[in-house]
Amino acid sequence: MKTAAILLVIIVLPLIFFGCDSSDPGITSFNPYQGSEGIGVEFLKNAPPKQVYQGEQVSIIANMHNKGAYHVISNSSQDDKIFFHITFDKYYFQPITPEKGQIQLTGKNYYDHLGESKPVEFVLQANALEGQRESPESQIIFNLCYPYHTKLVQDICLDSDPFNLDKRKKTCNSQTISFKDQGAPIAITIVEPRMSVMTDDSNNTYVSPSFIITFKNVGSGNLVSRTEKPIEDQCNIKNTGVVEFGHAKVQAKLSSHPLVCSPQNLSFIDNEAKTTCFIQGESKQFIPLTFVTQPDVLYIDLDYIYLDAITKTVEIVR
Amino acid sequence: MAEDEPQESEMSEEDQEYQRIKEWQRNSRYKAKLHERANNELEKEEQQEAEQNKSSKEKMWEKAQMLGRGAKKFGSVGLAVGAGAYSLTKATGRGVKHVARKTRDVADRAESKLGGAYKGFFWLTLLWHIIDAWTFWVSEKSGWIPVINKSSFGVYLVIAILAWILFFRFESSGNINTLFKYLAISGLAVLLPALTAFFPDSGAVFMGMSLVELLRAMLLLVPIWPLYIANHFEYKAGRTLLNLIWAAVIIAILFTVVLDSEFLSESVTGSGGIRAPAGKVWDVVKTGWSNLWSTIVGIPGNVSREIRRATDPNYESEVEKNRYGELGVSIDLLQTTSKKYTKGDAIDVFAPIKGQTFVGVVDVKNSCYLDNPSIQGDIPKGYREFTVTNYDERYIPCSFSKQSYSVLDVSKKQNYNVYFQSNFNFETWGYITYSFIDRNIRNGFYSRNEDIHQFYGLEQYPVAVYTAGPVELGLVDKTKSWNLPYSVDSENPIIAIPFGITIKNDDPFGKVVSINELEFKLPSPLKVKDNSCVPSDLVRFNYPSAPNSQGYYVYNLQNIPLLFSRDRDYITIQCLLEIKDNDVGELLGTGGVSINTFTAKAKYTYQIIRSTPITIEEETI
Repeated sequence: MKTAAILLVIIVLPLIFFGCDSSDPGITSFNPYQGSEGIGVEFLKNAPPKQVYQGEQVSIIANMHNKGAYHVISNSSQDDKIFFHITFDKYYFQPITPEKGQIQLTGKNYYDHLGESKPVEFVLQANALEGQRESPESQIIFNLCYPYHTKLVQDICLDSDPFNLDKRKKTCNSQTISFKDQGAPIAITIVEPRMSVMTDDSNNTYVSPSFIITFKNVGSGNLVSRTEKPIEDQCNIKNTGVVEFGHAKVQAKLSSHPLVCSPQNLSFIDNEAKTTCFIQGESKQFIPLTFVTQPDVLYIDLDYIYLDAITKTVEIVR
Repeated sequence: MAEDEPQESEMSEEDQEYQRIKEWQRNSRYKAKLHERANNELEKEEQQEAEQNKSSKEKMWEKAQMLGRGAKKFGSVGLAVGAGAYSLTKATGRGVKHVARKTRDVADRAESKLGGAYKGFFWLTLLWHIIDAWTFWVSEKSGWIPVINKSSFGVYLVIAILAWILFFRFESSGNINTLFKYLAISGLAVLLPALTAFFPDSGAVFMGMSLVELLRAMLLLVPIWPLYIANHFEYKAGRTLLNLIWAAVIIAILFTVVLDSEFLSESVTGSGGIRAPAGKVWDVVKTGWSNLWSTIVGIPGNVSREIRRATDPNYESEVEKNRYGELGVSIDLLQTTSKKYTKGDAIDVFAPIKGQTFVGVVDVKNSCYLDNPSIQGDIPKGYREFTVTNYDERYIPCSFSKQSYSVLDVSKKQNYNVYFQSNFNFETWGYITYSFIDRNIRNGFYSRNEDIHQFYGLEQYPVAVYTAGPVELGLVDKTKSWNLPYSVDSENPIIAIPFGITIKNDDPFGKVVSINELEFKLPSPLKVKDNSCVPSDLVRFNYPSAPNSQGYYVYNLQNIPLLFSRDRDYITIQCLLEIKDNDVGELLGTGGVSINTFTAKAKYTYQIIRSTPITIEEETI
């Protein structure tokens, strides 16, 4: 009897422990606004190869992958494309296929956690070696130009009692928030809220929130300010003015209230830029001095054109 | 009663009394002896009994007493001896002390280093290293050598075991670990030369040797076992020997490289494996030493030439290293049937000539002479001239009959030089790659402290290469500071690139006979600014108005005068560049960045001369 009871426990207990799966996959949360890359590009192995023979055709295959959160696509609301072209020495190569092209790629989303990727191919022909040269080397540069956005939606606290005059416990605290990245090559790294108490002509007191926002270029490329010109023209870099290099346009709003950012056209020096965004105009008296804190939502959108390039050296042999 | 004693009846009463006394004495003595013996035995028994009855303490005390008495006796003896020794020591004290100290040192060394076995081991392993190196690297001339070479594995194994037997007791790592250590050292000695076989044949790298040959020559100077023994056992003589060898080699290399610029050209290189690296180095060292005197004599001219080079515009490039032998025509060291001849002998000389070209054909014309060009040697018809289409290698014979050099007065002078001369046409190509960028893009990068070279993977300095041959084609003014990519602007399209070509003689044993043609090509829309090339008074330039079908502006110069002299071994041509119609867009392309290669070609006739000394003696009757 005693033995039977022990056997029963030995057999049943493992069934209880291992038979029940406590994990409930259900719906997993996925945040596409993570990562420091926009459009990643890399040459496929042996495309181009390290060594080619004179007269041989060379395939240049680059795999482009939208690893960020922004969809570079054309639809009713936007007309975005990724432009690419290759640069090579015409003394050693001649093009068989067109040297440039364009593509659209969706970014990370709920249905595609990795983002869309597509390969693009160019074909070059290695020219016959002229003269006594035995094995020269030449570079092939794959250039990329694409529009991108960095977006941040963050809960913030509007503190209408910045001097802590009301001794009651606040519902939230206004404090500096740090971020790593937002699924784009330009990241918003710091948001520092400031609450300034203002008095208007009518002696009404109100709190004017402002946000000092820090941006950082965390990608491997460079950026150009987006203008009204079509993307194709803007990616024709030789037409780009020097003032547009290293610039990006920022827009921010607080719930439904737009903020004015100064400067709006950010200038990145040593890969960093700062701006201050605040309420202006009719919403000036948005937060009366009620000594009551209130949560709100801050929206930040950075718009820019990003440039990137990868290079490979190819040896041409007889 | 004794037999010889008289009978009692015949003796007097006195005699009878005497006999009785004697008998009594005899008996008494006998009894006394018996008594003594009995007493002794009794005494012994008593002693034994007493001994058995004694306590251990008493026994020990008695023994101590005995030892004490013995020591006392010994001490008295020792005292006497010591007194004598003291006086003896005092008289010869210093000498004995000295000898004793020496003996102690020797004994220490003998104890720690097994009485000099490490020395013998050092010389043994050094000898084997020399034999192994010679057999491993010598060419296939010696048929029996591979047998010894194959046994090197076994020999190094034996060396490791022998070392373990001799030295394991002096190692702190333990018996087995010591054995493994010695096996590892032997393994290293065997593997290192074998690993050089996996390096690719790179052509001439240094002093005419390929990379593999250079590595093997370096391994020749690193004997693994002797190096370990000399350092581990602090064998001073061994260390000194190795240091002297390395110092001598370094000095010889420096001396030869500085004085014998033959190493800087490609003319003495050969494909790997034909000549032992040690033998090649020795030949080159000999050649270098033989050139010492001529170099010293030529120093004043060399100095003035260098000064002129520093002040005149001078363009340079890197020579392209060929994989399978160097381009051009080269004459290796001349070989003779003998170094000493008797007047009347036929003198035979062989010149190993190699030629390689990727373009066109090379016509080689050969001649030879003894002492001066008037005494010409005879080269068979098929060898006087030959054509190299891709690669050719020949041994050119040259002989001097007795009639041909009969004019020489060997009674006054016996030492002569045999000269071998080759004239050939050749062409050397130069290539230089520039990168260009839109000025706005460049300024954009600079304004944000961005590294444009890293972003585009471009070189900061122009890459200029000239193909191997007896002439150097320089394309870069290295005295100027460079920061590519070169920025251009459609509003201000000035190309301030100092474009020029320097043709320089690269072989001190040869000379440029004539420069037949100089041609350089620029990719459209880049072109030479009209009438901007110098020296215009010496060279006639043509300035094409349009590019050719391949999109290149081609500039061709004929019959360039030789400006080479004792003080000048180069000629420089400089031109200004411009962008045709200021078409910066065509130059930069879509991305605002472009890579462009300029080329230059020099066709010339070149002459190389090699010599070898011989001795001609008078005929002995």
